[in-house]
Amino acid sequence: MKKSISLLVVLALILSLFALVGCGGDMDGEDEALKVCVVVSAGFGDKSFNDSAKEGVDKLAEEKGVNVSTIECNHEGYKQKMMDAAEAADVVVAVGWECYEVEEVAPEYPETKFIWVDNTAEHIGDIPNLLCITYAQNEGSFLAGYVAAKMSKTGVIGAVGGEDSDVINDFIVGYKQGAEYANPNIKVETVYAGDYEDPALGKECALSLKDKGADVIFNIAGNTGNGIFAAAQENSFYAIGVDADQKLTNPEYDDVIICSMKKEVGLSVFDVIAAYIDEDAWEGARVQITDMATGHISIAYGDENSTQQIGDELKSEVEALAAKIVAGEIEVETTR
Amino acid sequence: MQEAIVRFDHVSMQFPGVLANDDVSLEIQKGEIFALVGENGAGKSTLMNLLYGIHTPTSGEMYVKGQRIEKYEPSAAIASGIGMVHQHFMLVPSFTVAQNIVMSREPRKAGIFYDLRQAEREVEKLTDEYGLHVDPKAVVGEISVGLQQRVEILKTLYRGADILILDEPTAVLTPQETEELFQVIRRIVAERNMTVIIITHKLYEVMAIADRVGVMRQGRLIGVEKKTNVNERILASMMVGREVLFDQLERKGERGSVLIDVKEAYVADNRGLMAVNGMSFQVHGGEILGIAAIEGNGQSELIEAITGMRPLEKGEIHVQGQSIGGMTPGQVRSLGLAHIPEDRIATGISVQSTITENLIIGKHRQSQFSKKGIHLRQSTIARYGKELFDKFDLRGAGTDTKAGSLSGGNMQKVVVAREFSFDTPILVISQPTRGVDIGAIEFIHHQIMEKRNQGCGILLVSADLDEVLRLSDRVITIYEGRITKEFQAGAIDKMEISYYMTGNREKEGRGDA
Amino acid sequence: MHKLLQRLEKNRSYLLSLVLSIAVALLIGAVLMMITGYNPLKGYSAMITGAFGSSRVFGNTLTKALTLCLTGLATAVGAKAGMFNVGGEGQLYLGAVAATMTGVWLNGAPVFVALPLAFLSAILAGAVYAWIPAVLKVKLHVSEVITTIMLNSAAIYFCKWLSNGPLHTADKGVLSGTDAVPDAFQFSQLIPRSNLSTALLYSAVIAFFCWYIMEKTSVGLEMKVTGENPRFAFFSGLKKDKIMIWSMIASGAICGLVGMFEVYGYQHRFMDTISNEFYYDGMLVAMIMNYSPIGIIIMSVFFAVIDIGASAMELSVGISGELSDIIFAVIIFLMAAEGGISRWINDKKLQKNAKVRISEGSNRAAKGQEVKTNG
Repeated sequence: MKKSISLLVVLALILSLFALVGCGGDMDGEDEALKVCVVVSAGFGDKSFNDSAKEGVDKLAEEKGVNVSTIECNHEGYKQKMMDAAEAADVVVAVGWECYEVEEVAPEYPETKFIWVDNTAEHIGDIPNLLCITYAQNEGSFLAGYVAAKMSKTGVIGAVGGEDSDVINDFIVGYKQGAEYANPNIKVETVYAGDYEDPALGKECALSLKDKGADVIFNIAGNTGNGIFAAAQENSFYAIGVDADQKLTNPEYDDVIICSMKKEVGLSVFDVIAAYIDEDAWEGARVQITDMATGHISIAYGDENSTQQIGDELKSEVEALAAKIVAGEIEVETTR
Repeated sequence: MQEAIVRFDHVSMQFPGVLANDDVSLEIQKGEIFALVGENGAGKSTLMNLLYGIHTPTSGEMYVKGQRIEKYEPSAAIASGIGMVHQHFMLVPSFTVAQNIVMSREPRKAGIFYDLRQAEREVEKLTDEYGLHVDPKAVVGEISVGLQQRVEILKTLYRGADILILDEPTAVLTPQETEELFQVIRRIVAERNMTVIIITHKLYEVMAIADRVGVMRQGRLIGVEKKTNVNERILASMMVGREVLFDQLERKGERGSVLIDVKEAYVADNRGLMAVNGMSFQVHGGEILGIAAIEGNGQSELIEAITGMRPLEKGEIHVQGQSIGGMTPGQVRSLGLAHIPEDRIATGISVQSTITENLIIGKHRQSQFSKKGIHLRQSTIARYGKELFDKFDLRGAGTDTKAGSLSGGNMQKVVVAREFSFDTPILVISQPTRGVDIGAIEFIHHQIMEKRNQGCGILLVSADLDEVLRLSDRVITIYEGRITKEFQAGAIDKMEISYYMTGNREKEGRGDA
Repeated sequence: MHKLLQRLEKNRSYLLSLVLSIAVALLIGAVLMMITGYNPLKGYSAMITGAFGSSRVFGNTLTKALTLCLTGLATAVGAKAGMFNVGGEGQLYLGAVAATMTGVWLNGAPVFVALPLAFLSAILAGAVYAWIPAVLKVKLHVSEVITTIMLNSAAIYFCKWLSNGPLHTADKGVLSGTDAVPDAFQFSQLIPRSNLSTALLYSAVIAFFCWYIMEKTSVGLEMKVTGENPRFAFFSGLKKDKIMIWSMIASGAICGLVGMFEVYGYQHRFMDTISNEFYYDGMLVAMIMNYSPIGIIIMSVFFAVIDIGASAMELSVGISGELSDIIFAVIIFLMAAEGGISRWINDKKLQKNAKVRISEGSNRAAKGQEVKTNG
């Protein structure tokens, strides 16, 4: 009995020792390096969206000596975790629609800058330390749809969306338009997976589209979409990647991914924070639209080691269209 | 003086939590019938299991036919001529007698194919040799228990055993079959020079068959005596460690009114077949009605129907004048009935609750034990538990021990303590002393008789014929769900009762129901 | 105090296993930290500061603890009577929706009308939904484990359909959720800026009642006996069926309330993301603490510290938040083996005692105290 009690006491003492160490050692004093924290509503490892955000900040660490930290919310406690981030960092990058409470958090921490990616805050105009970055994914998806329609032999193409949200529908709208631009008789089948983290589900969705005749399928579902590639390999159809150059992030599927619609979340964040570091430039209380003109929305084909499924002729057509979009000659529909 | 055929030399066996054998030294002579007796948990089965190689002793040496045992393994024991017949048979019911006997040593054709005909021939030779007749082609699942035991014995003989260990052999036999077994034992010892060791707790059997008796208590060998030097009382005292008097229980009082009235009752068993086939009888206050029956003849279902635990298919049962058709056990109890169930662990207690909790269930809502029937008065309950604990001479660490850690006897005492303290006019008691040690048996029998003398009506069911005969004022025998005969107390012949327990029926007045 | 020590003494080997499991889990966590290049001291101190360092995080820790505690108690209430409620997540969702919509539809009504009705709706939603598998078990012997798991999916998808469809809010920025509960009805904050609301007080009351009923009343005793040996309960005249059904209903009601507290306490509206498998976490805590109310309360705090502290660990030291999951998993794994560990400890002790006794015994024999043998 006495032994057990003393064991408990020892454990308690050790724990409180940790606490003391913690209290003491966390004053970092004056640190020149900028502290940036990325808060994602889910987790990393999706090889597209969330990972892209992290890459952007890592690039900042490399090139600008920024002190990077992360928080994966794993589907709970978004508001409090953003507050944790705000207390520890100078710049907080929030990723995910679930972080909508950034509107309440930002005013509580006026010293900290907030960047909310891929969403628009309702009262953005009143919050000077909050910047919302949205993306013209429809423009890139237009090109993706064009490519898909051109590469399709069945006349049917498909898309697997993460959920029925404005952002995802923005992809789809552009995708359809681009496809019809290439082939007015094209059929576009879509399905919403309802989950961004379930590759098995993605595979099933892809197969259901294939059953409808689709032979090129666009991934708009984060980690769920990685299942599309597996299905593509097993059933000999093509897939189009999203957010990152997925021929490079998923090299094992190089033979089925014909191209990717890059939505350079990471680079856009990099640009904003780099500008803040170098020129002390910060324009909050607004929504910044990252479109094709900025170069952060584009079509990627992997690198010199990747197998190319798309011929040079089609690639030039895509380039020409891109130029037209940037010039404003083609206006792509949008949900925004 | 012959060399001992089996010798134990300062053998001890430690299991986690219990020292089963404590420094036992014993010699068994060739050609004798040796009985090893003791209460449950005394260590007799363990000692024999050591001999049979099931465990390795923690310390000490054992010698068989002069050779020290090197490896403790059943195969080694069998090779040295030891055969064991366990209490729970190890037979395959769907196989024939021959197949069971030759199992694992089957005669083979050309080394691969199982030669069934040869097996049957060998078994017939065996049965003739030893005079143990049984049909080699019979299917084991279809023969009687007595014959099944015979097959078990033949199995050991087939393997060349000349030392036979029988563990509680008569637990499942009728008196007739027991007598037949004893004749077999006497014969094989006399004619074939076998040595037989019987483990038992039934003292009258010891006196009937054994040459010498060894008494074990709490892991120690208390003493070894020639049968001619002892009697049942002496043996019982040695087993328990104090004087045990098997006195006649005093009966007092007059018979009262009818408390349980069973009329043409039909009760189904779990498979839907009728287990009780139109039984009628009555239990009066101030008497004990005993039911003598072999297991599986409907007595369990009858008891469950009377106590509300099983529905009545046809007929009527009245308790204190009220029909109990469709009642729950709770409702039947409120008519003034308490019940000691045949399976205390499954039905009579909650093994994970404390002794006190087990004692208080049924009374816990009374105002003295819980305020407004809700808030438990912990100290009053604890006191009550302690009272009963002392009154019923419970042995265990204390009232807060979990009931599951008690010995069988003490567990049963908890059930008896609880049910008797309801002070009901009717008691339905089923197998009250099964698996219970001698000391507790005495105690429980006294308690039952006292309740009877106070005027309670008691229905007693027991597979132990001696118990039924000792306690009951009247006895009815049951076979296949029907009453075969009623006996009045007095000198009841065990052979006669056995006759009626095995299916023969009183000729007058009982039509085929 | 004396009684407390007595109680501790009785459960000695269990407590020892518990302390050992926690110690080993933390040790494994430390080893993992070192392997991946982090300093375990810094890691754990970040965890402690992350859980207690400021009033805000302390409030968050308490909130997490109370969620775990209530869901754990809900499991315990059912399990005590032998009913294993795995459907708490679904009951939680239903309670959350019911309470939210009650508040939304009663917008403008006085608080002392709307709030009790919201409580009632949460209780009824959870209770009724738990009643279904309870009856199936008691009358038709259908395993409640299977039915509650299946009903979980039904309830959760139903609620998601509601919040994405007919009850979808017009508020911008909320992808899948209902309207917010009117401010007047929401629980007040207890600690500013943290999650902690007056849900703490309601939870404390519920926890107290659970403990009181289970440990101190005849009802609790009947539940215990019914759970341990239903046949014995039946035999003794207890209303076994009623007890089993009502314990399940109580379990469901508590889960419904947890759902309500999530909404009224800090999320302010019902959303698809109202719960992140909270019930299963609470269920695990209950299971490893053997359904003891006091144990559940204590362990919930402990788990909350690890959970809240984990994100602080990720933030300040860079250790992945998954480490907390690993620590939980090891604790649960070891506690599941607790029975075996306790037995092992007991065996070792008894063997030691026995060896002493045997050597004493052979000493006696050597001194010539033989056993009498006649014949």
